[in-house]
Amino acid sequence: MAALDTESALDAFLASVERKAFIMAQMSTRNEEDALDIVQDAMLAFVRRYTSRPQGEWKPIFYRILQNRIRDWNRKKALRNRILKWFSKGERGDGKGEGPLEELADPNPSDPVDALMSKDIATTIANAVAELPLRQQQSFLLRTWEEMDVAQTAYVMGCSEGSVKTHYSRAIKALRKELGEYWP
Amino acid sequence: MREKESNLLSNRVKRALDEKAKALDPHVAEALKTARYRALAEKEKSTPRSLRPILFPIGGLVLATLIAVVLIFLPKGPSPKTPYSPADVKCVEILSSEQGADLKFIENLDLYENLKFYQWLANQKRLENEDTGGWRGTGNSPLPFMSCISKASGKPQREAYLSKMLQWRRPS
Repeated sequence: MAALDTESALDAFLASVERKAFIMAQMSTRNEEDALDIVQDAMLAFVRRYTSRPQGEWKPIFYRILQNRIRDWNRKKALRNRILKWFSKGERGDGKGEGPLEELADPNPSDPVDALMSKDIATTIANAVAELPLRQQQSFLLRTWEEMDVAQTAYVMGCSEGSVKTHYSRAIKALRKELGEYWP
Repeated sequence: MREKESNLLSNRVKRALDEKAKALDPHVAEALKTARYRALAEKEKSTPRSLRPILFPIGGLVLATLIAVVLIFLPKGPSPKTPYSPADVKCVEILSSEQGADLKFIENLDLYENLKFYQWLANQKRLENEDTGGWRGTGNSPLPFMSCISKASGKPQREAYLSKMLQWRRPS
């Protein structure tokens, strides 16, 4: 009976966070497939190891796993880009000019002018948030969207509360600059 | 002022992101649901609930069997020492019975104390006979003589046997 309760509670919890988790991952990766993979990995890791913890702790634990997965993905991407850049420089020989990755068209253009011209305010704001550096983005989304306090955000991000405050204030400043006339 | 602005921005962002979450593509929503079911199935796989009612009694039975086996085959400690072992009791029975009367001479240590004297005496007689040329003994080993002595039962019989032996060994 208790197992059934736990199972239904777990199902309800995952259903309540899956969409937010996907959007957070998509903002960071800008890739739908990668975002889905990250969310699924986070769900599996959470279910395998942490469901025995009190239900009140589930949310911060799940988001901590998710943010770690997002950070790992970004590190791998940065490393891959560095290696590709190094090889492309070697092929060009002169070390000047942009590599093939830089020459590719951005599938999600984040031009502020385009964004501000859009009538879809939600998309504009989401794009502006997606433009933030990873740590600022994490602190802003966790504090604003998930309504976590500073201590919980610090736990999820694996840093000090002071760092959370710093990242959050920088995110607000960057958004104010980015959103311009959409700023309240 | 800044805080008020920040709160307004937060509310607006929150509303915008909520709308975005609600308006997810159907195929993305389906993929998320599949991922959730897969995660729940993983939990089920780790502890299959259907087997629990079977596994618990089986585990208990195995444990009880193990305990029983250990208790049965565990080497027992030394039993309390009885004053006499069965062999001791048997010896006492033999010694106290009439059939064991021939063993009672063991209690008489005189025979053993005088064994060397008897050997010496036998040797003296043998040498004496050899000197006189009348010795007819079967050998000069004292062992048959000693074994004969030990077979004697009771002091009178033993002395009679010894004197008979000595007379027999004496040359005629």
